[in-house]
Amino acid sequence: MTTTLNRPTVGGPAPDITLVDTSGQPRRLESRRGRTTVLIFHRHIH
Amino acid sequence: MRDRLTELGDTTDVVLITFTDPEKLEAYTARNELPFPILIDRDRAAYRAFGLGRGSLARVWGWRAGRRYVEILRADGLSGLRRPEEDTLQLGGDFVVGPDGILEYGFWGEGPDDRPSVDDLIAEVHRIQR
Repeated sequence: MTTTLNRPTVGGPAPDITLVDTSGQPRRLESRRGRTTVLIFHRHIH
Repeated sequence: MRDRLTELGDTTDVVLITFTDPEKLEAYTARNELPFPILIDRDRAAYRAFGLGRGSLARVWGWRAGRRYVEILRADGLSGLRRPEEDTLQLGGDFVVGPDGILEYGFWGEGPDDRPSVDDLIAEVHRIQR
């Protein structure tokens, strides 16, 4: 069964996420304001 | 996408988000030489925030996956097959966030190979920049 989650609205604010980079440093999406950002959520890696 | 980054212009960044274990990620990035930053989402909070759930077994492991495995077997034989070590049911997606923080485009994948074309993503970026 597919898990259905609430999707953010296109045309509305993007979720403000904070993740870590490969060095372990936190990176916040909000800090990218002023630039267009393409987010690619990867599928699993073999 | 990595071969067409220059088409996005100077004011656009590409960020790859993954839930992969950092140790496995190191080998993956060494193999693929990705020219954009990678952010790690081990607990998949960002996946959930963007509405990316898990697919059904039938959909994720459907005919497309079967076709892919046939291709691997033809190319490399049994040695090319590896047991997946991660959650193969987690769905991915592709999004474009504008400079004002607005979600301008969203693509929610329904299977492992379900993603927008690079042409579509580039067209969306150009639309925002107009």
